[in-house]
Amino acid sequence: MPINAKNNIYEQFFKLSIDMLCVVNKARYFQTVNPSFSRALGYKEEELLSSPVIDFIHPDDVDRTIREFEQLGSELDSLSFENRYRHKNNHYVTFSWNSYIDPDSGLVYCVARDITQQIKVQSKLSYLQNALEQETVYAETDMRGVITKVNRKFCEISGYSEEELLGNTHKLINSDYHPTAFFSAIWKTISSGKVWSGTIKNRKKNGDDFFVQSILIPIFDNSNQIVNYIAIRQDITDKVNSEHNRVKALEILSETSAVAKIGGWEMNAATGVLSWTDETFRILEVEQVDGLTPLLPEGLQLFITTDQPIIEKAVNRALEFGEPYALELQASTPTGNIKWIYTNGKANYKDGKIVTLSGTIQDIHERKLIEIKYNQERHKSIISAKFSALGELSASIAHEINNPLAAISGFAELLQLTRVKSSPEDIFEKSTAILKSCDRIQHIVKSLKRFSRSDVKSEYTSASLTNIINEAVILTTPKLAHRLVKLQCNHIENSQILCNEIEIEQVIVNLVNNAIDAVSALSDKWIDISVTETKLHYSISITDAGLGVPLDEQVSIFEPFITSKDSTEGTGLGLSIVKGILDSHGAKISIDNNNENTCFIVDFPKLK
Amino acid sequence: MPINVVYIDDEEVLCQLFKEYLHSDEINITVFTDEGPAIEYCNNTKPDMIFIDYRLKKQTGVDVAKAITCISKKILITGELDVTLDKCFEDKIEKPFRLAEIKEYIIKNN
Repeated sequence: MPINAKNNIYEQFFKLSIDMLCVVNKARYFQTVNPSFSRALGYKEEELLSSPVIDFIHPDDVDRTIREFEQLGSELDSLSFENRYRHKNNHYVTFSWNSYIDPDSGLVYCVARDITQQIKVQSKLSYLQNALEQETVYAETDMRGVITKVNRKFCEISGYSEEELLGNTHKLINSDYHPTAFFSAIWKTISSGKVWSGTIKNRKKNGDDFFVQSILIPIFDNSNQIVNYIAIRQDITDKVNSEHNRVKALEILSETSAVAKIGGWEMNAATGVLSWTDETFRILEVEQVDGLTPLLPEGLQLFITTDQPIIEKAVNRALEFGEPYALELQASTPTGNIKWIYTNGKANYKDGKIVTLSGTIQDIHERKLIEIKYNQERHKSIISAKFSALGELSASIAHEINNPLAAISGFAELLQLTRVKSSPEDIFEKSTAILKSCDRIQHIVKSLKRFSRSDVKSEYTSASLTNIINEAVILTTPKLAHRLVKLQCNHIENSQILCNEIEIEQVIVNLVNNAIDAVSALSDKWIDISVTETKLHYSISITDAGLGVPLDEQVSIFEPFITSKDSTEGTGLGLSIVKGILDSHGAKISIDNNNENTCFIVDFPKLK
Repeated sequence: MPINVVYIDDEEVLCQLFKEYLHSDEINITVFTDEGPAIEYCNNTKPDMIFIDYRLKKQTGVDVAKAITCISKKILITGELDVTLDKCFEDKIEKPFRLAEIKEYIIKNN
């Protein structure tokens, strides 16, 4: 083989080698590098040759590398080592080297392999191994279950020393909690080559129990035969105990809700299976039977026949459209009781789909009965207030009618007296006066008409506050006149509110009547009604000559059965009913304490 | 000498009627719608007969009758149903009255 050809072969070998080859000279510069080397570090050949080798090495590896080189010159003629090089992109790669020195030239011939990936995998493995052995309760057993390896954690948690554990089986830490079948099943699983995981209750050397979440793994050899088992366990004793505490907290919650008479429920949207809290069972008076869960149709049956379609519709809409609901219904319990309950429900979503409905149920029977009674009383009270006002009206209506009547009869007498000499103008004037008096009487009779209405419907219509006040004033005029009380009234135009006209009229009549009673004994008797408006409200102020309501009485003034009047005086509606009516209109009544006189203010929301 | 009669009523139209119908050579009618000037007038002129409406602007007819100290005959006029006659009044006439009867009454009781 010609020399040239031979050189050419080596050159090709050098150039094409996947391994990294280089030669380092005495000055510790690269004498030559092959393309593979250049590729691995990302530098051009010229770049590598123009700087000392040391410049490319990880700062932490520099000293060690220099020492290795020195050894190579003096003590050894070949060596293997690993160090890290800085890639052109500034990350580091790990190389494993085999180097040989030519003592004559001092040139070092090096072969390197990139082991960066390998190092990474190794370090990951050892990290995992460390983590398993340090952070978990770790043990290995042989085929028969005899413990062959344990870590510190196993010793700590079990209270046994390594010597005590090795050579024993796990029976040493058996708590007798699990039946034999439990362990047979585990053995069956892992001996068939599968991984078993689950919670095991074990016993420490001192007799205390501890809980471990366990993963039991069979390990295979090259011929796919199980050679041993690894047990990785986590101490979950605290978790189990906190679960115990959680259950206890639930019990306390359940007791609390029993006191508040609030139960909870949940329904599976797909199956209609209902989950009820103890209190729900109690409220609906349904017997709790272990393992039996009520279904939706049974739940619906628990309401009175007329309420069933209402709850059914609400539940269906919640299921279909996610509409929440809150209802007051009458439950018809299996024990035969009918009771008022409040129940609400809402849809719960998972991944955009309704999976459950949940809500509360509350026993409101007593409250509802009181409410119904209050409404009945209120209705009665409005009627009796009408009679009371009618009584007061009739007492002084005679005066109102008799005065114009006196005028009519007087003019008629005059006309008769002057019938011969009367001029047509005279007759016209007197008959006009008669008609005027007739109008006056007619007006009074008209105002009585309202009292003949016995229906107190709660229809809300748009009505003019000014008209309502005028009507109310007409009703109180006889009483005002009778007690010689002056009433002044300031209106504003266009004061429309949404209301039950009769009820609001009663409210004003009542407030004016109260004011009349309050000022009757005073020497200066006046009442002032004025309407003002803000952006959102119309305010009626009813001010009288009185000197305010004492602060300590203001607290109870709107309570039922509170009156400052003699029992002989009319009870009227009572301010509690006034407040009740105003509440249902979204209106507010208050006392203006900045006014030196007695001033009640009623604020109505404006019609939108 | 005509009979001096005073009529006190806050209803102006009744005052007018009273005067128009009853005022004559025999009867001299003076009317008042306000109690103050009426009391003053009566105490000064001591009329023969005073008709006082029960419900006046500021006071009741009873108050007015008590304020008039002269011995004139005082007659209560009222439209109310339940006014008891105070002893300072000689008589009570209920509204609606007939003017003709009042005329008769004045002449008869003077």
